[in-house]
Amino acid sequence: MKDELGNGQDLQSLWTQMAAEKFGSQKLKKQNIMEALKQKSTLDIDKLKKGLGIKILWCCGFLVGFVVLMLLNLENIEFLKVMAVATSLYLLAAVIMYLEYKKMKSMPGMDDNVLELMKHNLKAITSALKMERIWGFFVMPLAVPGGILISNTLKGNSIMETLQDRQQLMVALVAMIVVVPLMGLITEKMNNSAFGTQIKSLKENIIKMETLG
Amino acid sequence: MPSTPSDIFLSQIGAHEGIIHKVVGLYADGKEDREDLYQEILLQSWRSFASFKAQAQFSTWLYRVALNTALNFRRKVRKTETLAATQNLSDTESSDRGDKEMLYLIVKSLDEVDRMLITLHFEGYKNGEIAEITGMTTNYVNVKLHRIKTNIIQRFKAVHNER
Repeated sequence: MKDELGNGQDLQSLWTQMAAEKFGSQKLKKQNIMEALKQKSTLDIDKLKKGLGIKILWCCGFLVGFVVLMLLNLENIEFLKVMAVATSLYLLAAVIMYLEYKKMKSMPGMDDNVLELMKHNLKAITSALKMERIWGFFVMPLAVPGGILISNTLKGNSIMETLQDRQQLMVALVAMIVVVPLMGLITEKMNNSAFGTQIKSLKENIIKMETLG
Repeated sequence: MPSTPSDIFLSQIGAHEGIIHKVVGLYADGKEDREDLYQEILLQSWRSFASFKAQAQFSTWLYRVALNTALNFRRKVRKTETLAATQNLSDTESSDRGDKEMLYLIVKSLDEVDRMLITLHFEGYKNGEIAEITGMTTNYVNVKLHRIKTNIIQRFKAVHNER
């Protein structure tokens, strides 16, 4: 299909000339290449992977702290009971997040086919954001009543005493009612502003590649 | 003769750097985005280099990595700059240089998937190879490429008729 443009030119030869003119003279310096290899990736998937890794480390930090506190208060059975629940919850969160992190690590390489990689990226990004939502909805609100329970049992009060204290219950309840939706809203807004456009663009590109419009 | 993996990588990148320039030129606007995309493509190529098999063509492999990176890269500059330039295509002088610039701007104004398909086509890849790189079916690539080329030719003719 030569002379496609009707003026003695075809697209292919025009492209070859354009590419030679526009990109042919550009040269990458060896030093710049070497510097680029040392930089950190700015791709969303890499940022999320790093973020999830940091959350796992935070969980581990809390777990170490909990164990130390338990060892220092071995005689306080009520406190040990509360801490055992908190430790189990954080351990569970850490394990779930670690499994997700491992899945993200085994993503296909950038040299996999484009559609496959985009699908994997979309799945990994939405899955990591789901983890953030779980974190925001469960771990954060539980921190308020958990904190009250821990501080009370550390003072020598029993769990039942704390649960029967209306004022303390009210504080925990109000905090939870305010914190849960607020955290959910903030997390959703932050995720939307940070990843919304990228998720939309990935979804659109996948649809375009799978269906003839 | 290059011996270490980094030497081999540098020598291969040096021989095929045109691919990176093309992908960056077509997928990023503005100095900052271009610099970031250059850096990201080089970094992702290096990370994936260990899985590169010697029997495969380095250029095809690099295209795959570069396009994957570009399609998953978050731009700071939106496409308004490019679109504005494309809308002014009719102002471009009727010269050989004008046609080349126009082709560049038209391809740049296509959506990301169409841009990838036509770039690979112009770079001489057969439809079956494009299907393998992109993960699309060959039949779909055939239909898509025909539509994209028709669209480009029509846009060219429309601008030429206005002149």
